[in-house]
Amino acid sequence: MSTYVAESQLGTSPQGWELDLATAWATTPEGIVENPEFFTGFLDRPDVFAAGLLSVADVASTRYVDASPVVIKDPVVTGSGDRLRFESFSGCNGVYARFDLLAGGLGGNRAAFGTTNVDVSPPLRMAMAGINRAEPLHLSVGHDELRASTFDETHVERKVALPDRWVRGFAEVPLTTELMRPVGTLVGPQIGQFMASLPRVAAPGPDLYVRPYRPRWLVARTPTPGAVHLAGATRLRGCERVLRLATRLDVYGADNGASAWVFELPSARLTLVLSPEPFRGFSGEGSLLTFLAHPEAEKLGMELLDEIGWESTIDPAELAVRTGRSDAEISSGLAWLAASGRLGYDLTDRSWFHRELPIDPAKVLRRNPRLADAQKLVASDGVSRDGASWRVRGTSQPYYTVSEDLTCTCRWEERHHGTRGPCKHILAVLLEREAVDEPSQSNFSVEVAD
Amino acid sequence: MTFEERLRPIVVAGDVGAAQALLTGLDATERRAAAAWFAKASRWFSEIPYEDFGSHSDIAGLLRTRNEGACVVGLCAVELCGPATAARRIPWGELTEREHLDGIEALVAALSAKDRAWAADFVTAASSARVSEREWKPRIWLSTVIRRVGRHHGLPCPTGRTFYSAFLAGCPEDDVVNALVADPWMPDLLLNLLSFGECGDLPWLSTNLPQVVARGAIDRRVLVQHVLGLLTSPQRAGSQAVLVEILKNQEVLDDELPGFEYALGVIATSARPVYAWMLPYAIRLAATPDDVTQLASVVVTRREKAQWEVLLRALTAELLDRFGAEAVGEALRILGGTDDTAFSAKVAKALAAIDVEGLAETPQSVVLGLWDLRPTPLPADERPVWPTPWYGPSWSLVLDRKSPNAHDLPLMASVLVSNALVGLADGAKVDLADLREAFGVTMSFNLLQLPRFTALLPEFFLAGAMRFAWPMALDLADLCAQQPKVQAGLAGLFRTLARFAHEAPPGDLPAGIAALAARTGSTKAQMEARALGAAMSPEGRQP
Repeated sequence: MSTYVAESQLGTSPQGWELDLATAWATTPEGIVENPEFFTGFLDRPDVFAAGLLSVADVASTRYVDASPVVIKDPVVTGSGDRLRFESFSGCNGVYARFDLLAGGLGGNRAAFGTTNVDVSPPLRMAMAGINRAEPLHLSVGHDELRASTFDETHVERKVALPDRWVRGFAEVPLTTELMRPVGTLVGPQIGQFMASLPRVAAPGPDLYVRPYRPRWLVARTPTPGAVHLAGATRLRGCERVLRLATRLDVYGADNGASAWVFELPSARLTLVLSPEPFRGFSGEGSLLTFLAHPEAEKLGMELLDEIGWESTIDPAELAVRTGRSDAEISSGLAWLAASGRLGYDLTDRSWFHRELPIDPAKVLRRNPRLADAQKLVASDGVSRDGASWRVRGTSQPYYTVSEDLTCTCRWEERHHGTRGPCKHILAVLLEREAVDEPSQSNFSVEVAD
Repeated sequence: MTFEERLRPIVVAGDVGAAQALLTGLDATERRAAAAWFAKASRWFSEIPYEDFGSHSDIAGLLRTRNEGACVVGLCAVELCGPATAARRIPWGELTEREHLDGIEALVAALSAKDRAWAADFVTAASSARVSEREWKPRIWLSTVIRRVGRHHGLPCPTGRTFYSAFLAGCPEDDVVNALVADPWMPDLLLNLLSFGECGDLPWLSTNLPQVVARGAIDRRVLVQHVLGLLTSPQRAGSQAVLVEILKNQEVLDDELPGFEYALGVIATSARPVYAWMLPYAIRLAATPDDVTQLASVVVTRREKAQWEVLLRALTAELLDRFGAEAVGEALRILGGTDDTAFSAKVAKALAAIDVEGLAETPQSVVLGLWDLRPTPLPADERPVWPTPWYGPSWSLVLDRKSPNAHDLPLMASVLVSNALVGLADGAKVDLADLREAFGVTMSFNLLQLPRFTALLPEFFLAGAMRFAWPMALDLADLCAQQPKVQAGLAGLFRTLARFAHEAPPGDLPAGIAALAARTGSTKAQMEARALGAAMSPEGRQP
């Protein structure tokens, strides 16, 4: 848990608006830094920035499963040189929001490299809601003067913690979005017309199937070929603030029913990723197999980590040339980095980007409840070799069989076929296998959460 | 005897006086031992059987004794724990008694005897203690204790959410206005209450606040700015309705709003009552031609037709005067992009009146080939299942506007569509006669909810059953068109049919619809009927 040394502030000066976003602990190329400065400069479109950041904050302060009030969490910002990315998850973790302020919107300035939380408090929201296009906006993300001017004054230092569930979501969403396929595109006024055609009901809203069609997209409650699954349609309302500014909407779908909605804005983008079911958040379990199953991928990933250097778009081909690794090895290493929460995925650029959370994501991922259950199975000798496969102690029957290619005979696995990540029996086998193969360097010791 | 052995008979007797004597009589060693035991005994009280507190023949007496026993445990928590732990360990959920409890008085006295810092930490923790939302009375006792202790020590207003679910409990005043005006925690009390997003449960709040403001308990400007700020964050629709009523009662002036951008954001994200209230402000606050365009861009993303009309009226009057035909023309073209034929016609008329470029032609529809598809039901394990054994799904219930359990109808409709698709796919059904029959019956009793029927059509069309559903839909639409009184939702049915008309073989409008379209006049249904006729004609489709 880290602390803001000051509150974010929006003030005015003779030059226009001055927005100082307070930062917490950050991961940077120089390591962990307290309250760093990521960006300072005038923005080209203050209205776009304000609407985009408020959209990310809206998602963070909404629990879509039952619309009950939530404690507001602060967005995560990543500075990547030519862009700033603000990310958040909804209170139910079923919606991921990312606002990318691209190079064209930074007013010719460059952002520093690193990742941290930014303070978006209710008073700041109110102030930002009034930012307009006409008046220039000077943005500071982490501001020396802000700290200097407030250090000696009385102020409440607000603690900020990155929720475990966000970290797990950060590990799952990139792997989900990387596998998505484009479904359709809307431009200009069609975007608003399509959004108006969706039912405006209480969250999470109905499950719909959207069929790209000209001139208007068709919406049904029954799956149809070529349609994208819009699970919990009301969850898409996180985009409402930016709709009037959107020039293009690209929709992507995944086979597991997740969908991504990328709103192109002037020199910016808002991405909303919706989980496959309204009552099922991005729990991180979908990425556990990638994280655990391939120790060699971990080595590759850690090797690549030194090479990717906070790039806003990672070019695998160039990495392959630079490291002398094959394309397959690069893909495997990057997937492991994504599963460990260190990479995000940009659907428009079709590329990974580097983001280092200001905590140890591996620790959080290992606190995953399912992984903790698996650890208990291993600790109580619930896993044993049975020829080429493994026997794992079961609950509704004495044992289940996990094959060498990591499929399990349990009812849960039978029902979901791996679409919800590996079951605890498979995870237990992975842990056992790791302990047997490399007993001295087991990477998967589990910390059970309080 | 151990502390537990001494405490238990006192708890089951609900003897508050004995509990006070026990606690004050502990020496330092006994107190340490008692504190150590109490720290580990978090479930001790809840595990005492109910019958230990009295006879079941006197259930009221038994429960009253158990309530006093819970207060005794609370006294132990206050005397043996730190403030935050004490707030958590008091068994608030067990306090279900409605009448006076000696234990509560003792608890308040014990907390009042603590120093101010201890009490402040206690109040902070207790105000957000976890108490079941099903039980109302425990929350009243919790708020009562907090309020009395807070007043005794002169503490700042509590900030925990639990306190605010019964925030007036313990007030000596007789009505809400007097209570708020006399409350030493005002105005923070009211501001916190509104911030928690639960004020939808307090509709009386908005009607009483003007008197509270008039009597000086809260500054009007502070209240208005606070509520305006709350509208920038997600709130339940019910809470938004209360918030906007507060603003209406305060007669907010244009210059009290943070600006046009603020109004746009609120319009885009808020529930209908807020939207309806905010739109006239946004119209007045628009300062540039671009603002007018932006406003139209936001309004067109919402379905509320009343507000479309409000903006259309403003565009043809005051906004036209302020910004001229070019700016208004652009806004009108955005507003006219809706699929509502009647409204688009009004917009086209407004454009013609100011002599600017009209609405863009709607692009030709692409034919998906729905007519040639076979009915495709979901795989068996993915089909919706009707969960209620008490009554089964039926088309009549779906279409009947007086159906009970309206919240079940979407699932019921899904199950029926799924069943129908299965029947059509395997040949067990050759048409949708049961749906057609239910339509006729509900219509004959004047119970037909036509929009529910309209909503079913895309489900059939997109699932490969257009061949079966289209003729039925046209027949039934024709039946509606022939009625002497126009059926509510008929325009929407025609609009939906027009959207899919390109998928069906070209043909003429059925006689009843054609007659309606040909009749003099320009009602919504007539205009959509004409649009349907155009879409069905060979000329209306893409080569």
